[in-house]
Amino acid sequence: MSNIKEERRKKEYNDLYKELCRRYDGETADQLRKYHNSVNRQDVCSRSTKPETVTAKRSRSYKNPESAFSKIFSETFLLCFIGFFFIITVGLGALYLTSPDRKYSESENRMLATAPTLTAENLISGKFMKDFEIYLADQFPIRDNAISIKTFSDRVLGKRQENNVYIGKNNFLFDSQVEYNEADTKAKTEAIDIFLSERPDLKAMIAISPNSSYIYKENLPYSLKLSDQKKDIQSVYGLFKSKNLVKLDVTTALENEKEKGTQLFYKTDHHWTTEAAYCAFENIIKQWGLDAENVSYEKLAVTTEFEGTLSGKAGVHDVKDSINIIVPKNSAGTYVVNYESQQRKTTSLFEKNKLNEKNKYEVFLGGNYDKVVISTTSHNENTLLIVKDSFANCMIPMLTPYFSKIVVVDPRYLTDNMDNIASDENYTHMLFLYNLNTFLEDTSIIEVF
Amino acid sequence: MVFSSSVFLFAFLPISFILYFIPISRKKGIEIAKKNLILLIVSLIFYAWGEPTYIILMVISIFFNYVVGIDIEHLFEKSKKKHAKVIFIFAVAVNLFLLGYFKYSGFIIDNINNIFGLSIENRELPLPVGISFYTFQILSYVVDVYLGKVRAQKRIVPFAAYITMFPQLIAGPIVQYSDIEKQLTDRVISKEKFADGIVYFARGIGKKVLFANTIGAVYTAITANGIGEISAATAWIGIICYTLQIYFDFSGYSDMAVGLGKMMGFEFVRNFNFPYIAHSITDFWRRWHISLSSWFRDYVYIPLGGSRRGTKRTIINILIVWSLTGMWHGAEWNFIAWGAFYGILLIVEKYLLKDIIEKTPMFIRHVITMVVVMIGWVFFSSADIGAAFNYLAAMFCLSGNAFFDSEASYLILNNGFAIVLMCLSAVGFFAKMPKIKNEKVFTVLNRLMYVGILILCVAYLISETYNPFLYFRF
Repeated sequence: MSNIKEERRKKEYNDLYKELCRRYDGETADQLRKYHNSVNRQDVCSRSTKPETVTAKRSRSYKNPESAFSKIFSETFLLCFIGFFFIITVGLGALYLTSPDRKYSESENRMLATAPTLTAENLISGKFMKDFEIYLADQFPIRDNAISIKTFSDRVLGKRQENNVYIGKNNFLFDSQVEYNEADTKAKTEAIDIFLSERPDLKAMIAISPNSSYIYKENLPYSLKLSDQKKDIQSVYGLFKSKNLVKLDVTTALENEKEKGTQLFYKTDHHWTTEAAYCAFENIIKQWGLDAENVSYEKLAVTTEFEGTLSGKAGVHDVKDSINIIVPKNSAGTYVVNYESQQRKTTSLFEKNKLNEKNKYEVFLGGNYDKVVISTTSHNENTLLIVKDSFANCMIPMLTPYFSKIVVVDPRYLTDNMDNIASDENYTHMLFLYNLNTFLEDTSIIEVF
Repeated sequence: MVFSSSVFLFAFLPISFILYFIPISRKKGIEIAKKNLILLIVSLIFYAWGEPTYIILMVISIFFNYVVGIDIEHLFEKSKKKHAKVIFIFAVAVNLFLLGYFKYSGFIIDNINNIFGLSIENRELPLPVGISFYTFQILSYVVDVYLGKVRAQKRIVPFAAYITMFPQLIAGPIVQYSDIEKQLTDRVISKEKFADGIVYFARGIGKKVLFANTIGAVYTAITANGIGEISAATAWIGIICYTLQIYFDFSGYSDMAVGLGKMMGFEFVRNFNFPYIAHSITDFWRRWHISLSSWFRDYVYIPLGGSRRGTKRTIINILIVWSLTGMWHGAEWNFIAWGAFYGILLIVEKYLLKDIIEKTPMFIRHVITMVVVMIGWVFFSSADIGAAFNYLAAMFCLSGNAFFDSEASYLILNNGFAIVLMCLSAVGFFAKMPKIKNEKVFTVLNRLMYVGILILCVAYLISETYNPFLYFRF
């Protein structure tokens, strides 16, 4: 390395530096000066060939000399971290390759993305890359822990809302509300009206439950105003024109029940409790004037370890809920349940093994299915067609003494249409049982009716 | 591919760095040459991941300008100055045409249709990511070669590596060729610099993922349902959130670019210097997106005559430069308005208010500057000029909505602490905080903090679905 060359280089650099200083002023010049010093320093370090002189010169050339400890520490520490980072990457890579993809996230209650297929077309359009990124995030091995970390730091900063879940007072979690939209709702009520007008003898009833964010609005985060679901439900009811449709005011019934101190909604899940369903059930039976011989109900606790979907979605795991079931006494063996699409028959409306899984609400009916047919030993002529969402699942066991046959339809999973289902049997009663969010959101009602 | 994605962090970054550090040679030149080739290849993959079709455009553009550079220099050596000038003008025109064709053709056709009532068919072309950034880098090279400020790059690999270099490819900073020429063939790659780079990268990704994304989600939520009924307080909170988002997002990208560059031995210019502590608009633009404003100064303002041709000409030059700056950010009238807004303000500051400003107390100057900057962001963030004026009306209580409502108090309760934290960070409060006296403790804590930031970022990235890329119109 020739010294003349070195000198020329330095001169060139210094000239450039002066030129730059002339052009900039104030803080920018300070920046430049700092940079200038650091470059000079690096020159010294990188250009000497003997390691001894490096350390010697290095410590001398520092303007604010850092101790040797700090330098060594910061270097080795950060390099270690990068090594660790790379190991994690390789480890995660191995995990990806060896473990099968999760199709469904129980804690978030949604389907996860699966591996995109690599085709020339996907590659050129960029679809493969986009899908791959979603796939990677969804299948990330420590995804659930990551959500908890994020929620924790957000809560430290005072955030009361996470992934569209409100973190309320007294450990209440609330789902966000679906906004009422007259045009969309009208399409649904009209479809139902047409269906009912063709069956004038059918005793139909609609029961729409509010959500916990309405019933427990005092526990919402401070100053959060959500829509008045009681009014919204009245608006939905007002759109129906059928004469043979009874509209049940579930909201008032639940509000009265709440006064008695009954817990009506889970704190960690968006569903109502079995007690709330029982309250609605009593009103339905009363409204229809139904009677059954010697029926009394008993309440059984099935789990105290329930962490609902809101808990997973928000990453908040402060409390656990208890699930109770309410069933007619001595109801064992009084009905047969036929999951038609699954080609499976059972004699219970409860799936006990679901209590060992994450989403324990699926203990009722085993979750949501397109069509479930329940034949009971009850001696009466009444048959019931239920069109519902998951809120109904915990109420269905209570209804068995009153009907000889109950057909449960969930339009969200149905490929058939309601006209076909209604013509299978001569139903005496029909019940629409929904919570407001699902009723407003779900568009499959229009498709099946 | 964006830096703040798991594909980048857990697949692209480790693999490309391992490849980059494989070539070791006793001869520095050979080592750097090999590293440049690897950098070029991984950068092309990086670009192709997000733009699988337009990569062809970029490759053609690189070849074209590589040949042009050599040609111009060759003609100068043979003293064919006129010929060189023709080639130069042709090259600039081709580069500007490509940028204009992809970025502004839709906008121009729309306006022609509107003004003349025509209906020329308008095929909406998707904008190639980063085209504004790399076209400007190419132009800096072509112009400097023509002016003889730099030698033409004879080797295609370093030249292509300069254009495609993945750290700054899609969101800047705009690295001028003259700044990086030497580093392309001779740069220092050291442990120290690498460790330094990690700190920069961690700071950048923290700004982007922890700050910009979270506060941006608040702004998006506020404007999602229209601004018809928002109170003045909510409108202000919204624009404060946007102001913070765009700064942390953009400067975060720049920090990440600087960090990645350092890890590979490059030194990029600083792109942001605490713009929100500016005490005047002139000062603001010395601190905001420095690489863009210096590009416009060096390649538009000064060639036009700068301020040396009298007041009238200077004013015209300023207006030209700032309308172009606005247009550079997107082919919409609101961006042009945003640019012109700053152009006019700079002229007013320079000629009319100079004395008044100097007498004004510093605190008031800071406040006024920030309010003006926020008004600027309203134009920048709105879909069109009409929407911008509606938003301004809401901010200044002219829309007839309430001044304060429960939404505003909910927003404050939820995000107030985060907003204060980010504001302090944006004005450099933490950077200027007195350091802990015991240096060992300080270093340990400081580095631990950055590691913590990286871990938090990973957690956020995995669980977060909101991770916008704001520069798709640039």
